[in-house]
Amino acid sequence: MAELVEQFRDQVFGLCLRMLGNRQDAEDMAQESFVRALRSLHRWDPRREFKPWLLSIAGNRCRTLLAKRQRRPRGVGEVEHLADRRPSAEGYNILVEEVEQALSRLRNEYRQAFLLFHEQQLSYAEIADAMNCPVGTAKTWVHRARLELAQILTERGVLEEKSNAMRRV
Amino acid sequence: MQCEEFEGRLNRILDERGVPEADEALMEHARKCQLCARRCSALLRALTLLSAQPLPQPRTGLADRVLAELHQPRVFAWQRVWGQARRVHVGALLGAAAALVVAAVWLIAAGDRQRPTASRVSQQPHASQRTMRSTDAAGQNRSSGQPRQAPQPDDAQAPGAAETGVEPAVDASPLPQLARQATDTYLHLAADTRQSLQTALLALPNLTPSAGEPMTHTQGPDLLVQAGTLATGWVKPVAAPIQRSASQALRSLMLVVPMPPEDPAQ
Repeated sequence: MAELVEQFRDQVFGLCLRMLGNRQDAEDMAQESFVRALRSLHRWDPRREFKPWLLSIAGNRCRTLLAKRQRRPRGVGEVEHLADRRPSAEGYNILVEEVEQALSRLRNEYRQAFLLFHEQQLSYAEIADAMNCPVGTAKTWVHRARLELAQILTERGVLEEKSNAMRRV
Repeated sequence: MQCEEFEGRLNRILDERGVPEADEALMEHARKCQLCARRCSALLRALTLLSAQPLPQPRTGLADRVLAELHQPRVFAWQRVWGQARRVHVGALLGAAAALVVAAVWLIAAGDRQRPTASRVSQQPHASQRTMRSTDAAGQNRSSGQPRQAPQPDDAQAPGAAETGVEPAVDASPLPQLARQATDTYLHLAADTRQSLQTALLALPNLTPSAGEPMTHTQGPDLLVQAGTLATGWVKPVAAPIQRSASQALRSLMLVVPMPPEDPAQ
């Protein structure tokens, strides 16, 4: 069991952190996800991949927590976190933060599908399985996440240099 | 290429985990459309940043924490809720139970006090006897044979009571007063109804279509009495148990409610 946790801890914690945007919450959710998965290990179908099943548990726990958060009033820290920051002088870390901010503004389902595809490298069939939805829906969620992410980043004026470079291509 | 086509083609390439910059058609449109170029480059830059970043790592000891939690006895949600409720409401539940017990004991004791014992019942006159006696007292003085005078306001207290300063029990309990008021109201209502009925029946012979002689004034009430008797015959099987229960309840009430003391003047 300990080996199982060690093997998948980074993937589970990474998904939780990207979904929740808070390290402490991500730690708690990752731990809870592993506990739940190990307790209901008898329900896992060995013909299926273990990783998508484990990530589906983590994603569902994160979405539940996010739904609870949305019912609470937003704190001051979160508003400050969404302040406009231009990347010109701050560098690479600011860019990463901008991308994370843009991700946090996506709908929970879009964000989860996008992260499972681009960060966890799952196929659409695995995403559909993990999110308990048809493959077409999973694909639509990823496409919408891409479009919204691009729109948010463009509106905020980040990544302009790359844009100019692309036009020069 | 239109912008929608550009978006669809870009998604197709990314779905296949390909490289959009290598697609000539896409680049051609990007050179012409500034918005598509900006969005595409922003997205590709974001994807590059995400993939270049190593996966974040949790604090050390995650596996130990998971295993420790696994070995703890599992607490279900309903058990948590029940535990909280038990802690919070245990005092209130105990208080309510104690109140219920006290109330039950008090009710049982009160019932024992109110239930007439055999000796008490034998000492008390029967309800019908009491009714007879009170009727006699209201109508005629038996000993003198003279009709009794109507009670005056000053007669509210019996002579004996005036001497001793003790008020009669009839004023202490409101139930006999209520019964008297109800009886008076009923009698007034009955008298009014009878008068209205007689007045209405006076006009009835002129309205009733009859083959022979018009109905006399006495025939109308007779018919009504017959109809009432007939109706009573129909209702009697139903009403009899109700009447029995009501009279039984009234008898019990008469035993419980203290009767006014006997008039010493009689």
